Amino acid sequence: MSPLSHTDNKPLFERGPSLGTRMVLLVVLSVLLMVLDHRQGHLETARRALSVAVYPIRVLVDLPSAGFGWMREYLSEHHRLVAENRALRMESLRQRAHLQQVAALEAENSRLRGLMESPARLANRVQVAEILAVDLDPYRHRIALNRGEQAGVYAGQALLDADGIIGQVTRVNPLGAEAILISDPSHATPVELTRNGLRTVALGVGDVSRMDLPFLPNSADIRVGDVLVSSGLGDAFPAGYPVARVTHIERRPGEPFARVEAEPTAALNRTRQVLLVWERGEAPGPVAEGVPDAATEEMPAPEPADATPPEETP
Amino acid sequence: MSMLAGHRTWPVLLTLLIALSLEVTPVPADLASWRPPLLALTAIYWALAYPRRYGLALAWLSGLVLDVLKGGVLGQHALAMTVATWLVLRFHLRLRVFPIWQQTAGIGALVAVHQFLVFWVDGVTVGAELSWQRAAPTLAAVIAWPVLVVILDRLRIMLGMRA
Repeated sequence: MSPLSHTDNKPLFERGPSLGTRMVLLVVLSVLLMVLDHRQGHLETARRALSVAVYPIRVLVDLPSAGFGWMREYLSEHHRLVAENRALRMESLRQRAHLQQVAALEAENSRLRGLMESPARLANRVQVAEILAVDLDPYRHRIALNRGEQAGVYAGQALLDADGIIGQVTRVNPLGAEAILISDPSHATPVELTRNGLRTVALGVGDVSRMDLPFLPNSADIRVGDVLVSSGLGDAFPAGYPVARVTHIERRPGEPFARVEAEPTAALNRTRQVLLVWERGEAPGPVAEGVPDAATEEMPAPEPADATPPEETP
Repeated sequence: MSMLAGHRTWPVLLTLLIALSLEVTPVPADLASWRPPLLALTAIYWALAYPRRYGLALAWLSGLVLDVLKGGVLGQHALAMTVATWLVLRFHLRLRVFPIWQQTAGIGALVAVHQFLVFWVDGVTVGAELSWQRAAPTLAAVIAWPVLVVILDRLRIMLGMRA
């Protein structure tokens, strides 16, 4: 090749298509990709292949905060650790005492269900996954998880933390997964009131501390402080897990619906570990072995919902 | 042909990889909308520095990787970065000789186009709404560009890359 080709001077004769042509080609290709991906969803295989390639970047980005957590654990003082350990042991004892009661209640519940000839609910299985400290998009509430296909995660699976529902898995890669939070503007959670079983839908508004309940009439029996749990309709979430607590009600006589706001009970933006739920005791697939925090355990089944036609959840 | 001194591809790929990582590095929630489009800026820098070597194809590919990394619609950032890089290549002779403040203004205009395309695709696919926060990345890019130029110029001098 001529030495000129190493410089940035314009070559005497242009080779190949012109700049404008190439730009137009690439733009058309991008638009084609967007249509195929968004409208048809044809590109899942291509995305999976690429997502394996970008997984190291996600882990790399997660390293500083993971390292920071590890350093804090390593450097924290002995007496603090001992105190924390003691507190945790007390907590565990309290929980175990509570569990004994739950076991008795569960037995009673299944006996009553037997009397009513309705099928007994099996326990849900859960597995701990970690949220990678990765900011995906400030306008969409999405998170990246460190468990994927190899841990048996599937699209549509529910995510919990200690205080309630966080979201659901939207996309599974061989190594990791992406999930949508219940606060995402395009997410709706089917819920019911614990106090009276009133069913409605809680919409995300793009704010981690607020959800809207736009479909409640002015006469609805709802009060500030009411707890909303997942209703299990729509088959997206297991029934009976807390979702939000009502914070604000404005009854508007001129409008068909009241303005009701609720605050998610789960710590949507402060949690690092989440629970993946396998409903009805399905085996969580080939569980990754040798991973210390991949503990799979039984959880008592929450209250079941009655079988009404499922609602649509995006 | 890459045997000649001063032709190195790895610094370009490495800086793009770092920019890619910084695009998803966690920041406080209040600052999240102020994240400059670093990958686009880095690609623009290299296109400006070596317009005959790093052009549209590289911009498109890195945009595609960013789409997968962010979990958005495939092709969104690829499209925006292709158009931005095309504008750079179109005007590179002028942009290169501009004083830094004038160059920054030009890059700001480019990034505005880039951000508009990103917003447009967001609007079509998930129904985004326009708010003043959408202008924040462009402002952040205007602040980040001179810093990026200083850092990458120094990197090129350090590695003896041909100007």
